Amino acid sequence: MKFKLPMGVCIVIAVALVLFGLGYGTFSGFREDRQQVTQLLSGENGLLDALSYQGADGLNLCVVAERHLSGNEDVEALRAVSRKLNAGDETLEEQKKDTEELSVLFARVLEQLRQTDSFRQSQRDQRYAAMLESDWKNLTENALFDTYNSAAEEFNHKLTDTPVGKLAGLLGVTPCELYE
Amino acid sequence: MKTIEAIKMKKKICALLVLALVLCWCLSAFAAARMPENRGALTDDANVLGTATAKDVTAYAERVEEETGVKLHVALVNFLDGVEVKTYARQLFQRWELGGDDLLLLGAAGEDSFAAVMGGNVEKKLGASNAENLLYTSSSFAGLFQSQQYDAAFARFFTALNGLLERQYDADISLKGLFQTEETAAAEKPSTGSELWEQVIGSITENTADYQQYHETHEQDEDGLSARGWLVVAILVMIVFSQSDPVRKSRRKRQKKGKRMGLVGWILTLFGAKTLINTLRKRR
Repeated sequence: MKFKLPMGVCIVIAVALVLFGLGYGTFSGFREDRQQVTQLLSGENGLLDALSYQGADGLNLCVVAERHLSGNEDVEALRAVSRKLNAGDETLEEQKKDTEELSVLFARVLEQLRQTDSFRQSQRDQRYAAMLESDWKNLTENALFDTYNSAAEEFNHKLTDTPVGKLAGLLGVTPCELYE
Repeated sequence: MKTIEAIKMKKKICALLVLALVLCWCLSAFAAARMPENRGALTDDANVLGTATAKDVTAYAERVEEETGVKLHVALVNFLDGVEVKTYARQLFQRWELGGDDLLLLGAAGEDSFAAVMGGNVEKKLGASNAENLLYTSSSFAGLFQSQQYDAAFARFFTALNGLLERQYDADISLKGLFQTEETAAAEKPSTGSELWEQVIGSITENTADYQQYHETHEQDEDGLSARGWLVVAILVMIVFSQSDPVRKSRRKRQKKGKRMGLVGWILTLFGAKTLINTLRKRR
């Protein structure tokens, strides 16, 4: 017996296929966009890695600072916040606060080092401090941070403020966390 | 009794597995330090060895491999990014995919620390304690490295290592022409930057550029199913309608009458439009 469908059932199946196409297309499009933004955040040498390297620079500076400012409170504070940032276990908001604190401490420790006689006499440590300062600057002033925030904001706007975005939201696509 | 013991054993195994998973998670929570790429026998990212010593290290590594099969690697970095030196050395050993016949000597010039890691075969032949002795006692490597006399440190280390390799591998490795000049300070090439850190910054910048390129390419694209996807949906809809009762009846009637349909007729038949049109005409 040949398979035959009533017209009504065909219409229902056709509508279901079209809706599926619409839903799946929306979901996969937004998912791909989100993956790209997430790649910028947590991919290799992404924003999270850059934050971790800032923490690493803080720890490296502590190694140099220990040779001239033993037992210094600012060095200990720098070490503590650098460890937190380097571990990368916190939320973006917490990491942002840590970066700001790290920035202040980094500059403060450098300033104290430059006023220390033993540091002034050590060409080697002056070179290392200059290297660390340069690397720190390259990391903090990198365009990555602004690019990520713009990308995340644009994605979130598309997700929450457009009808297609709202549909994608219902299908499980979530907004991106901002680095602020 | 046996069943109860088996259940207790299974519970213990499960608990151990969970503990192992938790430990793995804890270890993975530590950020990866920046590590240089393997550039062969000598990877001097810290730029602390003189040109002559650098050449001697490479030449010596070739001789050692030829005579004993042991592959020597020396890695010099500026800092360890907060990682303990032995841990960094082990991670570097793994990252470089070194194996049983490899020996890695790591030095962190900015931290005055160093460590050695041996592959399984090398450790069996040389012994872990002998390697430690080489670094700290028999070669004065430790003292020289910590006082930034890097060329002298490596010259003494390889001379001492040579004696150990010759004894343990029953080999004859010539040091002729190597490590002759012990430069007391690495004043030749003072470290002013790190190629490794520059490469990392370069990668980060490249990532950003890649995203911007992706964004420019996809800015105009609408989110949703592609043209190809909609074509597939259309074909599926046509197939579904072609199975509908009215369309089948219409096809059978045509076949009985021996009438042939054109292409447009076939497409309309698949959509069931032809049947719909005929139905509407009859109603009029």
